[in-house]
Amino acid sequence: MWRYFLKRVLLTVPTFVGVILLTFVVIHLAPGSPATADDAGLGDSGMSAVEHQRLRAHYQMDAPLHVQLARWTARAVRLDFGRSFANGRPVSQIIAERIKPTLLLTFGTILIALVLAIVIASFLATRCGRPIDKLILTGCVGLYAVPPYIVGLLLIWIFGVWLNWFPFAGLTSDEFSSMTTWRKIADLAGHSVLIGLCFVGPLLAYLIPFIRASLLSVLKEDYVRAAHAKGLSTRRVMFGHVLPNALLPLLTVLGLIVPAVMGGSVVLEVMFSWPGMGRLLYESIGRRDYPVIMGMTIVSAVIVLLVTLVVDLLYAWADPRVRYV
Amino acid sequence: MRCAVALGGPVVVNPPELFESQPSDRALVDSDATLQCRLKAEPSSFNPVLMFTAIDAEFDYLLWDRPFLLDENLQWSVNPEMVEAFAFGEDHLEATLTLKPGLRWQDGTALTSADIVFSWSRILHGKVLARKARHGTDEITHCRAVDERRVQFKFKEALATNKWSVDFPIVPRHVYEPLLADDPSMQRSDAAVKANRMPVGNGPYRVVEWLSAERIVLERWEAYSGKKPAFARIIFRVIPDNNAALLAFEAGRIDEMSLAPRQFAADTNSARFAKVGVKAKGEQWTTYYIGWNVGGKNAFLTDAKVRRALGLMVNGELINKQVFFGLFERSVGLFPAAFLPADVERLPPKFDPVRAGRLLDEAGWTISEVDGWRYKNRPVDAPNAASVPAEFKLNIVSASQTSPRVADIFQSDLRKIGVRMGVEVLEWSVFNERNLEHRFDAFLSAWTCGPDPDEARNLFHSDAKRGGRNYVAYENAAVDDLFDRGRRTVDSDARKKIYGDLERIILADAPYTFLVDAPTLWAFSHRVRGVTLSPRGPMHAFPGMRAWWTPRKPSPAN
Repeated sequence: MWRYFLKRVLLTVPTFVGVILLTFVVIHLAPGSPATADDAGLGDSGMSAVEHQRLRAHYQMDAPLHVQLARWTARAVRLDFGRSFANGRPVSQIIAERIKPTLLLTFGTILIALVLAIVIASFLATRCGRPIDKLILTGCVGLYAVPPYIVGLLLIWIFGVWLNWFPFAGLTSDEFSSMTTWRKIADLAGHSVLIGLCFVGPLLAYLIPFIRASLLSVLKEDYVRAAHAKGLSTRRVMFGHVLPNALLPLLTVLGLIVPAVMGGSVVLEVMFSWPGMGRLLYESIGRRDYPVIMGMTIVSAVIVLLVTLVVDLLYAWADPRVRYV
Repeated sequence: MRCAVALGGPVVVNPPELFESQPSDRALVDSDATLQCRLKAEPSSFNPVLMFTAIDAEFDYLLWDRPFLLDENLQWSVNPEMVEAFAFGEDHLEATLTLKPGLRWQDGTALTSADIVFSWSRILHGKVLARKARHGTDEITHCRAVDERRVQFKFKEALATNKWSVDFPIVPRHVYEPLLADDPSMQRSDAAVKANRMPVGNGPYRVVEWLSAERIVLERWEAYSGKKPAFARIIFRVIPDNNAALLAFEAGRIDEMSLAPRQFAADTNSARFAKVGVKAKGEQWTTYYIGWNVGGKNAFLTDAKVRRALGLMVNGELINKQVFFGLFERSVGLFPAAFLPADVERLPPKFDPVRAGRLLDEAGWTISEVDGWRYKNRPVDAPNAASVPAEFKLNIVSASQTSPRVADIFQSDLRKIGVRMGVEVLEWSVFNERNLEHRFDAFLSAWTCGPDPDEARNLFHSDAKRGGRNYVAYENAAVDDLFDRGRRTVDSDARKKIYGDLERIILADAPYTFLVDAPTLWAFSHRVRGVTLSPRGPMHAFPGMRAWWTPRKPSPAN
């Protein structure tokens, strides 16, 4: 197991370096620059050539690309990701602010979706082919097909404007700083409901058929039949023998879901004014805020690689055959 | 001119009460109320020297006072709250400003002439990114504190625009000077960032909370010596999405927002909207145009006759109706009427494919009988001979929802007269880079005219071809001369005549084709009063939001 662990960790390093290097080169070689992006705000005055030159020097973009990369790397290894071009704030500070809402949303919704999907899929697997099974599976297809943007608008209109049950803009209420801890938790939860539903819906639509199919294939195994023949209750068979084996492939899916949810949140974060990483990335690319883009790439790469590593290790732990591949 | 109208529904546009000034009886004004505003994005900084985006500018008049003002008609004026006297010398090469006694920063420190001199020196410092503030301030060669309250300015030249040059932002010297040793840029150290985010201003509001990407809260500075605004607090909510903002408006979470043409015409006519708010529409000096690369490699566009012909193919009526819901006006020229002599008659150009075709024929771009497209000097009897096709590519910005539709209409009309137009959609930064490097045939964009016609100098003067905003590489010695004379002419009527002549020449040369003028379109909640719609919208000119107020609700006892 240790050998496998070491091998996986070592494989992570070149992947990480590759992602960082590629991102740095791509964003710097892409047309446009922070100076030309800045011009957008200037309206009637515009910038002169001298101003553009000054901006390039200020952003330290007047040096060759390899020099810029060397400078950036020298700082990054000391965990100094520089300052935002847009507002001069340290990138680490900006990311620290914005990563919390994203992690809350990503892992919160994945956890809720997982629990719900396992419960619903288990229910459906024991009722395979019945009307309720067909109805929910059809519902899953429909839920997966509707763009989250439409679902979001609908939820805002019904529960935010019409019924006025949940707030739909931002992460906290105006009085948040003066609230008690429990009120703060309730406030955060309230603000997370509508945007969270937009994430949970498609996740359920994806996970329920997947887990159900996995359960059905395990239910046909000889050892399950043997367990039934031994006189074990359906519940015991389900939770003791079927689920642990059926959920094994789910570990791989989890490794794919985390980056998909983190990366796919841009539209919803903009729509719900959610102060997360997706929105920050969207804004930073528009402004060509290279230090922030690079900082976010590092953080996202670390999270994704870490999750993948943990999933791989869990898989190897649960299924020893994997270690010898 | 404003007038109240109902647009086929219960929603009223420009109701008189929206523009009602604050009553002199303060008992009628709710001075404890909170105003909730919408921000499309976060500001970059509250340091007025560094401010450069339209979002930054929304906070300018709230947090900062400066000696000069841009009023609701975009006229320059002296700020009576700060200035005791201001006068130019006879030769217009010098000016002296006398501050009122007793001016203070929000931390209680005295505001003196030294702050003004310090601000001027920072704006011109090579390490400070004073992107917007440097514009014009660099015409001042000398800024000296005569005493605590008097500042003397000297200018490079005796220009009519010198009054704009002295209107630069001021920052507290006692806050920023100690930071300069570590950070001369005023934005790259933690201390400077803190000072820029929670500034010590001198305006009627101060920042009490800035929650990144969520909200910014301002509170009235009760010790403000000038006229205090009515709202005790202003909460700016960052809501990037237009649809979500409209829903937030209908839910009562924001009191104002700018509306896209579609929202104004179609999405805000419901009873639900009428219950919470009204709409406002006013003149705005924003013009949509097509810029032609007159100095570029595309031979089709280098001929003024061709550009005039292309201008005749702009179906302004159709574009306005189909893209802008009939809310815009057909552009009649380069400058707002206020910059021109009163007797100048300007008529909107007519969509005239027949005349356009004739002009193209005259310029040698004739229709081929083989394929129906136009070519330059293609012999009729040798259709395969080398010839130049009448074609160009129009660059548009990807973020614009209206540009693709305008381009579609134009492309379809041009096809009818045998001109091929391709469309390239570019992200803003790339679009701008291509313009700066003159790497385009034509581009579709919009500009908002500044308060002085000289602002257009860097669009048309030949010295702005390299790195300036003369993206189209336009060059005309007569135009250069008129721009140079315009800025040197102090007499208002004489200036107007110069800019009238300028406009006539530029329209004839047609480096740009002007399409439509955009109005300012806004939604306000019922409780908001005191709005002024300047040609820059309701916020970007004085008094802007400072004059907004809400009536006090009658108490139950009454």
